[in-house]
Amino acid sequence: MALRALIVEDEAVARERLRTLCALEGDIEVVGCAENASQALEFLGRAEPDLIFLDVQLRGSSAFDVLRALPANRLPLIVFTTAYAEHALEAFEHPAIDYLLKPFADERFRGAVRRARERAASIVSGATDTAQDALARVARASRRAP
Amino acid sequence: MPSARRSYPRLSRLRDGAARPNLLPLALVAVYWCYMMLWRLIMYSVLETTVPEVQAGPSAETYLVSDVLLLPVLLLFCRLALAVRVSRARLWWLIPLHFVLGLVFAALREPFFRVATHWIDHGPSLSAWWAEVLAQPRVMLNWWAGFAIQYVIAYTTAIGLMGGVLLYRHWRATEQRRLDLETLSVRSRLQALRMQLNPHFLFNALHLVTGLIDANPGSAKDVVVRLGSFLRRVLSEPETEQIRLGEELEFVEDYLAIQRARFGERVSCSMAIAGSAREALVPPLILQPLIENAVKHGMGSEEASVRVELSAQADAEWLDIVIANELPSGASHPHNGLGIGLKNLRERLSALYGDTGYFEDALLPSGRYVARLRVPYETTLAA
Repeated sequence: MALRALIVEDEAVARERLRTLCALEGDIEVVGCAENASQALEFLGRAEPDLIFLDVQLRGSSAFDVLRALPANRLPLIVFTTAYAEHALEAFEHPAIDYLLKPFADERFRGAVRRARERAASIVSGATDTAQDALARVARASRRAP
Repeated sequence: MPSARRSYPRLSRLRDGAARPNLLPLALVAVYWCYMMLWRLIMYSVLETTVPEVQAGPSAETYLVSDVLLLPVLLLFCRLALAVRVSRARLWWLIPLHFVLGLVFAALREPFFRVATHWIDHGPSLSAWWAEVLAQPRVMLNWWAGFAIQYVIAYTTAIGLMGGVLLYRHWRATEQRRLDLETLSVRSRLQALRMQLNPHFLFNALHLVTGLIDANPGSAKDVVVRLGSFLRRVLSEPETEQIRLGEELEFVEDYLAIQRARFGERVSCSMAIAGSAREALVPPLILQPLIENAVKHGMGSEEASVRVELSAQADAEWLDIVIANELPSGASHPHNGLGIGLKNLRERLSALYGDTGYFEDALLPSGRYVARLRVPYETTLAA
């Protein structure tokens, strides 16, 4: 099953890198690219991606505004991307799959996608991730930050 | 909290030049004079009991009272001396001034002494003394000259004491200013690292490189080199308190080049720098907070792009730097509550230039934000 992904990222080079990395995965289809929160919301109004790569620091409004605008019953899988781990706690309040700290290695990206695939599969089979697992992941991500 | 919109032409002084009341030097003079009075009182009290000539003359209390009467005069003279402002080159003018004031002070002692004699010992009145002066000026002058020297010396000592206090204060202030500069310089470097060049900037720049390596290797190299030169300037220990504006601008260009690589057309910059301005000395990293603010707030909204306009001009006296950019409509004054970077900037200007450096910023009704920096035009490094 291919995952349909939306990329929300305000830097063109970073957007293209995500797009290339997704293409290399084979089973990730990038269905949309947004430069800012409004574009993201506009896209989410007419399509339902399975996965969002969401840059935490967007100009104008926060990435969390995008999430708050979505109905809780149809939240896509979220992979946060950010340059700095200061939003890790706020991100934890949202059911994030992973937290990619820029700059990240290709391998790190593949790990996030792998986790997204597992989650997508477990949602289908009815299993859920525990809050402790998610917290541990955020903590690990924070520790890796210098 | 200042109002968000200030009128542009208003120049806000970094520090107002209100003089502190110079109470300490005056208090010291008063203490010195009381000490002198005490000794005179003791001396005459002792002499009164042993020397017949002194016994026949005015009483010890008379001396005390005349000295007490002289104290306000002495304080008044000292206060006047404090009010006189002379440039360092004309400091020697104070010597004839105080010589004359010293003589006047010593001359005043005689009528004061007569008043005291009249009160305490019921001697001749002041007008009787004055008649005596007019009748026999030579005799009275000789009599006065005999003791006047004590009072000239006392006056000179009081002024010297006061001068010493002022000199010590000046030295302390200079020393403090030097220490402040050192601290501020170190702090600004740390801040540049932690706050101004926030980690976001550094990590985003590195992330940019990971994206460029495959997509555009040439650009990737350029960004790495720019980032290297940028970090070198931030991290290196400054050898001097000031650098040429030209060097500071290279730093700004590095920063803006990285931001352009990140945001493309959304960030642009124009620089109009007069040739003489490039040579002018400025504190290192002084423009960084202003440029960073301009980019940050200029791009504040989703679609906004920012054009930073930087211009610098110099004449014989001043270096003027203006940084301007349009803010997205509806934006408030970006420095409401004064960012830590700008506070630091003001402190550094104040430490380096005292009252002669300005920083002012304003949001014009048109939505244009203007920051203006004025520092004395200097091209030779202080030793």
